[in-house]
Amino acid sequence: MNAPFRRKEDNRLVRGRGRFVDDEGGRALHVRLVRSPYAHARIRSVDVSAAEASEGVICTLTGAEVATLTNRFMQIAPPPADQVIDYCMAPDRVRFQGEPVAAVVATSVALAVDAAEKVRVDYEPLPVVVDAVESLRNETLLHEQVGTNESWGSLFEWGEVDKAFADADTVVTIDRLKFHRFSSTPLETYGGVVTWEASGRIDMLCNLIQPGVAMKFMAPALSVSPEQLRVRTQDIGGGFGIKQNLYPYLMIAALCSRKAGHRPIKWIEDRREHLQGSAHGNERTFLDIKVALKADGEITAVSATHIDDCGAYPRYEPLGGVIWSQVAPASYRLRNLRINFRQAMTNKCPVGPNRGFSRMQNVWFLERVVDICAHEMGIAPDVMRQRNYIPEMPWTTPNGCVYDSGDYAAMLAMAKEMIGWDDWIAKRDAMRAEGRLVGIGIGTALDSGTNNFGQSTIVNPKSGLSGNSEAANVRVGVDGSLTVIVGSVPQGQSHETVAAQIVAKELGVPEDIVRVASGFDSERATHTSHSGTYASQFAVTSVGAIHGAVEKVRAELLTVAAMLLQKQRSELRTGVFGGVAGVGTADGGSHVSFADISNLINTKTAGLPAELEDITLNCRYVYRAPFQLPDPVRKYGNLTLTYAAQVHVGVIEIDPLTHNIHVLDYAAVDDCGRVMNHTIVKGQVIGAAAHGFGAALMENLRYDANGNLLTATFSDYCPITMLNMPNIRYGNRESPSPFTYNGAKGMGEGGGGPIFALSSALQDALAASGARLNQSHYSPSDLHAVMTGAPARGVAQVSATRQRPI
Amino acid sequence: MYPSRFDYVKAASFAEASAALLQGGDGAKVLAGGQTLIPMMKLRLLRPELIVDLGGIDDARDIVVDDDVIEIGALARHADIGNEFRAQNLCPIISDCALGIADAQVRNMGTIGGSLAEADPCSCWPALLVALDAAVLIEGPGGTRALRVRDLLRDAYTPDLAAGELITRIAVERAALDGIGAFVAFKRAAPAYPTASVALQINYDGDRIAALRLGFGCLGLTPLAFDAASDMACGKTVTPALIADIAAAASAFVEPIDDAKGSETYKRSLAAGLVTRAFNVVEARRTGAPAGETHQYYG
Ligand SMILES: Cc1cc2nc3c(=O)[nH]c(=O)nc-3n(C[C@H](O)[C@H](O)[C@H](O)COP(=O)(O)OP(=O)(O)OC[C@H]3O[C@@H](n4cnc5c(N)ncnc54)[C@H](O)[C@@H]3O)c2cc1C
Repeated sequence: MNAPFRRKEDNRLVRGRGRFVDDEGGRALHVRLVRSPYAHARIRSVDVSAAEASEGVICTLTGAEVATLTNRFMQIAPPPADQVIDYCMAPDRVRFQGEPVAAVVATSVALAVDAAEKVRVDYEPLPVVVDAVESLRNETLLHEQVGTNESWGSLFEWGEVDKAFADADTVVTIDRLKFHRFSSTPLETYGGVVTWEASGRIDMLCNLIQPGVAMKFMAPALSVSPEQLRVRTQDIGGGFGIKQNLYPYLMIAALCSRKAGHRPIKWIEDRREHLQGSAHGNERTFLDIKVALKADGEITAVSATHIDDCGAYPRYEPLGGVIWSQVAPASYRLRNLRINFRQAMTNKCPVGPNRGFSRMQNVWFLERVVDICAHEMGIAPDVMRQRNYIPEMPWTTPNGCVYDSGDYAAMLAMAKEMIGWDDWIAKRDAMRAEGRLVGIGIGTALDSGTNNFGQSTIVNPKSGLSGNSEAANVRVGVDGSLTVIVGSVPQGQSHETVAAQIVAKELGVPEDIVRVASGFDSERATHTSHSGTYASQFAVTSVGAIHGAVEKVRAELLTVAAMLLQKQRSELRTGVFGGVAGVGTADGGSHVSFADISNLINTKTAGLPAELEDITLNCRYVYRAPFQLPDPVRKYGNLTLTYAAQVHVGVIEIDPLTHNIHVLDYAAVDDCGRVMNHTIVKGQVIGAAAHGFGAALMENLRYDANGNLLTATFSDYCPITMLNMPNIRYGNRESPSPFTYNGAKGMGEGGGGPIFALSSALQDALAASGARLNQSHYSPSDLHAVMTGAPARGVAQVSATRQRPI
Repeated sequence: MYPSRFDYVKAASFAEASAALLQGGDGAKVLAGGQTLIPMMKLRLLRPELIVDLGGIDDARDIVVDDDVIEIGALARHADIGNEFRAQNLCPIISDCALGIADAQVRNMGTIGGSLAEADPCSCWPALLVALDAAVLIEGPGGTRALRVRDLLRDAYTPDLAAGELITRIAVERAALDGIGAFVAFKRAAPAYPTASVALQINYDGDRIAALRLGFGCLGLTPLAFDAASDMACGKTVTPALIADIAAAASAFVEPIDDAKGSETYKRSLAAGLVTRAFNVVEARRTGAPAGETHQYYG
């Protein structure tokens, strides 16, 4: 099962023979967007006359037209933020830099770009708010009709928090922690080739990653049936969650197509547009943190205010307002929690469900709490974790989530052994004695997968979405080959390899007769409303669906073969007989090929016996994750099916000459249940780690006070490259999930392990100075400021009060 | 990411290019490796109406090393220069500088002449060439002239070139390259300009310093040459105390500005740090000890 199969898709992808959106649409018209240079401004007028007169221009589209042609997007939030008015293009007011205000359609991209420069927009700048905490003071409102900048807020309280504080031996307070804004950097930017056909069908060839949900936003806004939308994908060059926010742009392209006489329209986002106007990850500030502890370091309660920043329009938010609670206590047995969660709108790019979506922020918060408390209590960070890790599985968290399997203490022990923990402690101390700044840190990351959309009812009881599902279809071709279609939307996750592997293994046939027709097609391929590739669920939902479809096909093959071979079904099995895939008896004495069976059903149908009339050899199965609706009042219920985990241990040194954070040694141990393909799992672990290193060390989407994005090109944003990556020792443990048919768990988000481990190691390196670092990202210059006692940013105020003599 | 419309001519000689430039007036620009010009055009931060491509000038890519002087054609590419000096095991400070620029794609296209003409205070060649007090040959409507790089680069992004003037060659006195040197830089990532860079060439007399050349990139509005360091160092052996003194003086000497790559105070500290690293690499090279990496990236 877990041999390192070669990836089926690599040959075409590595040789540049994939088919991406930008490879299509040869005869399409091209659209260029005019975007706002202001973060917040009223649009006085938009003059497209010069653009329309420009060479090659077919038509233009303005926000004002959009407001008459479409409905505003539905909002997930309950009142009052359900009143947010969000169109695919700004009609009369822009709320973030890069928000589209007009579109120009021309016969080539270059002509469209030339003409777009001739669109004259008269803006009246408005006051800007870029800080979420400040935004909640409501001095500058983004959406007046909402009456507040809060998109959603609620108190989450579980257990007996007051009692735990009263009984605590020590109470630690931390004034502020800050998780910064960054994003993923897919090689391929957003794109689509969209045709609003004269028939009414809207064909969207694109790189959306969660098409089912996007269609729920687009169809009502366009006043069409979701069935009229044909959303298709092919190869996708990375998605990482943020491609979910592509749908407003697809709508612009659709409207342009109709206006251009139903001609196909191609839109490929450029890199600057991507950095400015696609989707960013959630930024979160944690305030007024109070932690109750026992003398031995056991954390008994945590209370805090979390202020999330969703940017100018909520879009997929405020779902992040509840998604974090999938991992409310992180990897700890903590039972009493009081979190006042508030989400603010600001004049910045809207956020999207970026890899590790919302859980990563919460786990970072608790990892920081654990490390800071450990230092305050004088307990080693590994010991502190061992005392607080969840001791047994399955484990029901205070909010009713069920962690399925895993042994975090054993993972930590493994990671410690891999880097030689004791030796490193000795080396660290020796290096410190020479004046070097060395730190060792731990990060325990959770990658909760297959989420229960019922949690949306905690945000809004009227949410029409619950559970989770995926569909797959397996059919037997007339040549005996097998074709698999699944509703997933691979973006580099090797679904073709794994799908083929599952089918081949289940039927006992060679992998090379299994063809996986990957890519989504809402009209012609199979899917459900939850279909897509996001939130670490392929290994459970898609594999579950493929498995179900294979079982149906197997049953049909056996039925036909039993009749042809005059045997009982129980005497027969699928496999390879005489070198050919087929059905036969255990001794192989009697057999018939898949090809012959398929021809009987599909080709030579005259005289087909009545008993076989329901047989199709083309079987669809819908996997539905076993979820109930949570209790929205208590905010209680099982929100995800599987919990993959990673423990990262890193040793860093702060270079005294450059303040570079240099990684001296690093181990990442992953447990995602039963591993279906080690090559792929390891690739995901290393790739997710690269994201984490990038976030901690390099990538930071910074805005100035006027809402100008200061990192709108690669030379400023500077995403991580190979040369910035340390060597990673990779380890794996397998704790099969009891909740999935083969014990596998979703994985791939990584959960931000290096952000936690590096924060922890930095704190350790600077422990002697007494500084308690409070940010998830430090540039060398930031560290220099902390170390030279310059501005207070970057350091938390921490106090520890012993309430009881020991 | 599409440039605005422009006309294009390919010149066969500097004289032809110069004439085309003059004729094109303000809207004309020459194109060498295109590694600065093309990105600026794609972002439409530059909108030249005429591009005069130097790529057809065949005799301007040569690298000539003789006893007195090293001459490099303006169109020699970073990769070619770096590989040539590395292969000949000559003047490591030059190969450090060339092969530390950006990534392979940029090095395979970008030219030394383009780097100087761009006059970006963060570029690497300018920092090296002001430290070595190199000269450039310039050809233009008024004929040819020689100019010290220090005089060419008196302002950020505006080289001292008259209309129609082109850089044709770069000349470095061999004497400036006597001894052992290193070019070190601290960068966020390879395909990013340095946060700061330091060029250090030391000529030894026994184990005493006979001459020392020190230059900085990204630490002012122009590349900076710190000639006073030579006076501090001459006649002394390299000791931690001497390194600390020069590093501290360098930190006070540089003129960094606050920007996204760091605060002014941080960059002063970095200047001292990189001077120290440059000394360490040079000393290691002198003694045959393993020398650390000259270019360090985040992480
Ligand atoms: C991703 C990236 C990273 C980079 N990182 C670094 C780095 O780390 N360090 C570094 O030093 N550089 C870096 N660069 C810049 C690179 O070295 C360029 O090649 C160089 O700065 C310009 O040289 P060019 O030949 O490409 O010039 P071009 O881009 O063709 O021209 C640049 C300018 O010089 C003018 N020009 C060109 N040649 C001449 C000439 N002979 N006479 C007069 N004017 C001329 C042009 O008209 C233009 O104005 C980077 C570039 C990129 C794209």
